[in-house]
Amino acid sequence: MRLPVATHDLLLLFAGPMVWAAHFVLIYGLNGIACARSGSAARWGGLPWEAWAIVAAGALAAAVLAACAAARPRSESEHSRRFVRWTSLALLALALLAIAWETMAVLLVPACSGA
Amino acid sequence: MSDPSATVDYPNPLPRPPGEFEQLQRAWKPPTGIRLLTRVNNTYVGVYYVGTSLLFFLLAGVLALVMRTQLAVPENTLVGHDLYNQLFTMHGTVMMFLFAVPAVEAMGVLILPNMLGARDLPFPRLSMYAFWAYAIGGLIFFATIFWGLAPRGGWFMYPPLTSYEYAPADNADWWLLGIGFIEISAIAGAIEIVVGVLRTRAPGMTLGRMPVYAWSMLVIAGMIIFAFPAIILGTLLLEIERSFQWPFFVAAKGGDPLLWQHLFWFFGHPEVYIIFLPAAGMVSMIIPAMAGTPLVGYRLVVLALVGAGFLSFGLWVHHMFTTGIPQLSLSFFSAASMAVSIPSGIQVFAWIATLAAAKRLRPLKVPMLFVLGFFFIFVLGGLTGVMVAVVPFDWQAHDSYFIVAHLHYVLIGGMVFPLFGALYYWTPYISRKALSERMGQWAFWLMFVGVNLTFFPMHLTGLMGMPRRVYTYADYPGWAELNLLSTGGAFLIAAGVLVVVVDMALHLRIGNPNAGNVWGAGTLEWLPNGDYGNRSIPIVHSREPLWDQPGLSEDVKEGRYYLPGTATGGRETIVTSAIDARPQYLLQMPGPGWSPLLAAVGTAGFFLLLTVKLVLPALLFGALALASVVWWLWGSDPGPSHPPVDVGGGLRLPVQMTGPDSHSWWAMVVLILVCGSIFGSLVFSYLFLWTVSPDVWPTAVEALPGLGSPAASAGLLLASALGVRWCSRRLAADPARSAGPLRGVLAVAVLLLCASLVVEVEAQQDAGLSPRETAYGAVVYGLAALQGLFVAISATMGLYTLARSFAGMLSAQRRQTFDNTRLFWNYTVVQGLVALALVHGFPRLLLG
Repeated sequence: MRLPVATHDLLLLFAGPMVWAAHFVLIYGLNGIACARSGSAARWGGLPWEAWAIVAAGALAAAVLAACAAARPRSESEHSRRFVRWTSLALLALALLAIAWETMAVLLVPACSGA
Repeated sequence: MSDPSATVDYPNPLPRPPGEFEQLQRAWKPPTGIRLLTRVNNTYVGVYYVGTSLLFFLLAGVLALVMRTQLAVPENTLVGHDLYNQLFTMHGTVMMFLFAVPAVEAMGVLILPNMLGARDLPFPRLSMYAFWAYAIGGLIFFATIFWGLAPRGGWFMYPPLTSYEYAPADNADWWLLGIGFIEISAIAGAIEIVVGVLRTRAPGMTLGRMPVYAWSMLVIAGMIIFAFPAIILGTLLLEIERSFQWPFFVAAKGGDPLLWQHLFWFFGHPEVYIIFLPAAGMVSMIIPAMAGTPLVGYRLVVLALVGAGFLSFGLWVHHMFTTGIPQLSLSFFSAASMAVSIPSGIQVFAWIATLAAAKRLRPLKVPMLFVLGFFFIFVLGGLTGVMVAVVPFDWQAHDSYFIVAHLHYVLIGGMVFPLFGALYYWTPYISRKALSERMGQWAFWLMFVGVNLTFFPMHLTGLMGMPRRVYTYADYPGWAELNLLSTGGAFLIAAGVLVVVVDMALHLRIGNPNAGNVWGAGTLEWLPNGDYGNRSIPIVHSREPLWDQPGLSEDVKEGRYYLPGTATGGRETIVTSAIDARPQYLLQMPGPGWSPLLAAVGTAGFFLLLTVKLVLPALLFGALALASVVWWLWGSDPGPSHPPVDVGGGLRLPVQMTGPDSHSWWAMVVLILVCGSIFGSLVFSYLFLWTVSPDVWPTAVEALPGLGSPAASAGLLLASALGVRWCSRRLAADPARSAGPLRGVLAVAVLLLCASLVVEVEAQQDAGLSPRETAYGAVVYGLAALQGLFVAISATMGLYTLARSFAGMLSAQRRQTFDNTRLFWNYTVVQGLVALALVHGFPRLLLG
């Protein structure tokens, strides 16, 4: 189904922060559940599986961001297309930075201590 | 359609026909006498709204003065502990819920339509309803303090202190029901703002030419849509726990007080940005006007507003650093806190760069003074924010006066100073006279010195160990002097605010002609205007049209642009496309009316009487609200009552529209996002309670209802949705012969929807589940109760649609009502299916 132009461009404009939000909920939920239900103590490369899951979530989010960056605005006015394109790319970059920053914590902090 | 900003300069020739302007004035003439209460125009509702929010600022400020007087000296006996608890609870609650959020929305209602080039916001009666519900409910809520009935649990009302065991009196209910329903006003305002900003901009005002203030309001309206549902759900759950002993927050029964903290702060931290971002938007309007140069880095500032709006949702655990959350989870929030500093920093640098590029700045005018005060105070609050963001420091400073100092620096610096600057800046837009420069300067300096004198010493008292919320203190070394200074400072702030009140009393004179563009600003709200907004709706070529389009004011005033009169004889505005702002249709707007006011009275009465357990009178008020809403809506959805109209330049626009391009469809989609957020918060609650108390979840499949009942419930839901879908197609394909079958199928669909709920509740009861025994039972019945609420609303909408069909008000072209019902119905069905999957699938998944 082809989205209406306004819906498409608004979703594109806010794509970066929406991906960030979904990623944030995912990693927070994952870590919360992992710490509440400590099961496997398996470690790989010095990190527990939860940490690898969070790294994988970061990689997945980055891939979605890259896919969004390939999409183009569809509004009729050239002025609008340029604005939406620039703003969406900048927000995608900000989201990528935030996701990378949050993911880096798994390398520095133990998953569950303090709980 | 070609781009109107590129090809058409003057759609309408001069001179305009005689009588055209007079007809426009008549259409927008406000009622007088007792009917003054029924005014709906944004100019009036906006002024009432701003005025009421300022009244609450004054009232909450008086409470603060009483507290500061009590704390002026050690061992003071002016106020006892019980009243003091009510004072600090009411001060925080009123400032946050009845002043700050309403004030920013009120400024939006007042300014946005003119700034966007619209005649009014798209749902004037919704604004009026939101205002009256807030004003009536808020004033009654405030009055509880005179009867010792005010809440005592602090503005964030943590259970178990506020639950039935430790707070059995009605005080907490006033907060939960009183504030809970006022949040409905905030959401109504947010829907109005989202649709208004996206769909009623002047032709040519693309997203890239939209004023930064409009961007900030769009962002915070979006934030309200996702943040407020969490607190609405939280208040519902706590009120149900208090009234019916469903133990959502009772640890002994598998509940968790921390669930409340999550729900509260998921709303509470974005709330800080909900009040800060519009203030930042105001600053981004004031600085360019004062400097005489466009804002530097417009696109970066838009990026910053959107980025900060989103990232602020990742900060709520900020307020819960001492609650034992896993360290890595805390780190996610720390990282998000650092990330949010990027967009915040971008704005500050854009403002500094604009000031550096100023063509005019001196002498400093009062709005600019308040902006500079905002810089100083807010930056200090930000610095202490960095300190408390460091987890080990926060553990030491938590619940001390250091926190009181920090939050007041942030909130007063980040919201109150810009708001007062905005009052001085935008008064000439609504008043025949500007406010006094001299009095404004006095007010600024009194407030600036007062704020620093009050709150800077609190950092020190906090570091010395003085806890917040104590009603008195012993004469420890150093405490008395610092507290006395804080008290003196508080009275200086009050003196500054009093000067502003006197200034307003002397100089604020609402009416036309207004004082006009006294600052030489570049945005559309400074066009000559009246009750009708602008005489004609301009075509916009840039971000500062008044600077870049010479003669615009005169041309608009003379009627050379679109819609120089009233095309249908009533109130109307042009609806444009969301991205490019191309004209799409003419929206006929309702005029003054009693129904939204009565609906607000009914809503307020319903919730507030429930507080004191007067169930029958509450139900009567509820019936009044429902009847008033039906009366209000009955006249809407007029269908194609008028042929397309010429608004100038050969542009013929249809009058009204149905389907996905209509403003009504957009509003319903936004409402569904709100509903989805409420449901999402409840799903989170279910999963959160499972993580803390898996022992109260079923341990065997036999404890669960058999799969037959959820399958039957899901089948009934789907059948009802299919029925409504059939009605939709029938209405479009063969309206002449479809009335009878359509009514029959719609009535059956209502029954099927209700039956789906009955099947689910009976299944849980048959399985022996009780909502009172465990948190699991409470949250399962909580999901059913929420679904029940949505089923009731959908069924009511279905019956209302049926009634319109019987009245001959439903057709292929006149179907906004039907479309809204269908959208909400489909949402209810999807929510019901997800709830069934969660309640019946998740425990089975756990049990393998």
